[in-house]
Amino acid sequence: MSWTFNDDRPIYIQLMEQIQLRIISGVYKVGDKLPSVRDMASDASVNPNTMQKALTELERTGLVFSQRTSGRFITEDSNMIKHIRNHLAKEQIEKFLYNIGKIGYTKQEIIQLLETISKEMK
Amino acid sequence: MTTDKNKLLYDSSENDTVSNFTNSNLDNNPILECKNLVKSYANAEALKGIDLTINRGRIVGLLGPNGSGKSTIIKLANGLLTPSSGEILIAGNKPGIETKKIVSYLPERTYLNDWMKVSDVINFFKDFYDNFNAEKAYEMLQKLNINPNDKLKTMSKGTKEKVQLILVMSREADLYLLDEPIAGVDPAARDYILNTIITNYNENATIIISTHLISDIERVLDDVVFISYGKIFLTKSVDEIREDEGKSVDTLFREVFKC
Amino acid sequence: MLGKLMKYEIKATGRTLIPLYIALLAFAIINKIFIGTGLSHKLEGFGSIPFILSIFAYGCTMAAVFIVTFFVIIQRFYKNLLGDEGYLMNTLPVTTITNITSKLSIATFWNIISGFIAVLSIIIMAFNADAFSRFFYEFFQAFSDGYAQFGIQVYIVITEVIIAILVQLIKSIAMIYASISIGHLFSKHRILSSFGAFIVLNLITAAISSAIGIAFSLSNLSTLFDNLESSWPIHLVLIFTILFNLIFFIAYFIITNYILKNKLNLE
Repeated sequence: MSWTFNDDRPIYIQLMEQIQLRIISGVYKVGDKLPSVRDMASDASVNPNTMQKALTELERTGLVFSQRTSGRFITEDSNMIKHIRNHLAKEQIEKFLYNIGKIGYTKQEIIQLLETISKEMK
Repeated sequence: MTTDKNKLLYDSSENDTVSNFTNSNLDNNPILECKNLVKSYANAEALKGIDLTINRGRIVGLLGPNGSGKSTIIKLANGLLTPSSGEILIAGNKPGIETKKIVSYLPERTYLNDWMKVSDVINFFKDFYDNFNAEKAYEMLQKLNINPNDKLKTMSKGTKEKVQLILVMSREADLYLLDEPIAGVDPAARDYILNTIITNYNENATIIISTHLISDIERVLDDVVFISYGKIFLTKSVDEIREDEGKSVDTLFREVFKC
Repeated sequence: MLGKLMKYEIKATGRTLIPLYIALLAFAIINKIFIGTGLSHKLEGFGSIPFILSIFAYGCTMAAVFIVTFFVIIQRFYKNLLGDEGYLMNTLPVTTITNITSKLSIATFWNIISGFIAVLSIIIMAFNADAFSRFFYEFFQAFSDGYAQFGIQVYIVITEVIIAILVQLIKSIAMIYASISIGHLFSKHRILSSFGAFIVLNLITAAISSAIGIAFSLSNLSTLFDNLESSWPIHLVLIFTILFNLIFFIAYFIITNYILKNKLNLE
């Protein structure tokens, strides 16, 4: 997974989102040790201070915790991760339903359409 | 992989509150201060009274159009120019031998003499700078496949510039002054330079990058200083600009300095 | 720091000069072989061409040694402190005084060496065992005569002469540096301005020297020289010349240092 940013929003917020995504999708597994701030910043081509800020904020949410001598780790709480995953999914779906509603589909039509298209995508 | 430096970063995070994000205060004094700094020449005023304070552990962009005074501030900071009036202080000292020991400067042009080999230049830096880390320099050269036994005369301009950057970043200085480090450089080299800046970051040192190519380096900057016609226009953090204005620094710059 | 700077000065300048010295001595030896073995007399017509070429090459190289020494002194100062390399040299943690001193000392050094090598090459060519030992005999004879007549004064005078030459040398180099620095003050036509400054400084030195000379001859001090039995007048003249040049040397050094420290303006 590569890092993508747009330049009109603070980077640390975008970093938080993308790290969260990696955690949720399993790129960073539960309990994993994160690379150092410097390495992560270098990987994402961002200022280490910014990466630090993003990680600190993530600590606040509990997704990430730090141990003085050993570094930063992903939470072991897989329920939390599941929760966030569901929340994000819900957000995406609500956005999708809103947009597709504008085109004028009914709920039945939407579900049928989803099944057809996902079969095609396989 | 975890080093003591990283440990310090983690330590600082324990004390931080939401709104007050500062770096660990190994050294509390600002690394650069300008107090009503004026520099005038016979036919022009390059700087018309600059007030500026830059703290340690920041990567700062000094941004402005050509001729705005960026290079002048940098030259005043490394002692190549003397103020006409006002003051410029590096870690509380006027530019002189003590400040030159802790300032590492990368000018726009190549300042290495051609007849030397790369290894000669490394020995030169080792001779004059106590805080020069030769192993680091050799490591970086190796990663770029530059042979230390090559003569500078035989190298392309781009390679010479990379050598210079490596020399400057191999010093464990308190203040790095990079004057247009990515102008006239191909995109791959640009990425390498920005990556070198990121990986060489340490919380006690500050990096000031003077440039007019903003979109390329925006993500690497903590703070920006807009300068125009010898006066400071704006000093803000990049995050503030994006949050408050909802635009990138590059966009804001173009708006502000529209001809 | 001064020692380190001097080390790099020698490396940078020696690269140009030492090959010339070697070439000069080589030609001297070649010429000596020609002369010594009498080949120069035996060969006629085309045979003598190699010898003529060799003498010619020697002459050119001799001229080159002095011209290049002069240029190296100028160019080294100009290029290394006021050109692109100035971005490095002037941001080193050394004082401008140290920087100037390193260049001045090595410039003086090469001047002296060039002189020695030149003389050495002549000695090589003209080496004739008899003439040589006769020369040395007469040389030392003059010394012991002088010692018999004037006592230890002879050696003191000789020392003073050597010091006077040295001071004259460093004064000249400092004057060149001051001229180049003054030229640097101008934003355009720097080289022309340096030449102009050099001429002006020369005129000033000449004017002051003449003024003092005239004042001296008009005063009663010249009567001191009527009595040649005492060697005091000679000391006086030499010491005065030394002091005079020393003052100028210091003045030029101060000018150069002031400009490099406060009025530096690299492109």
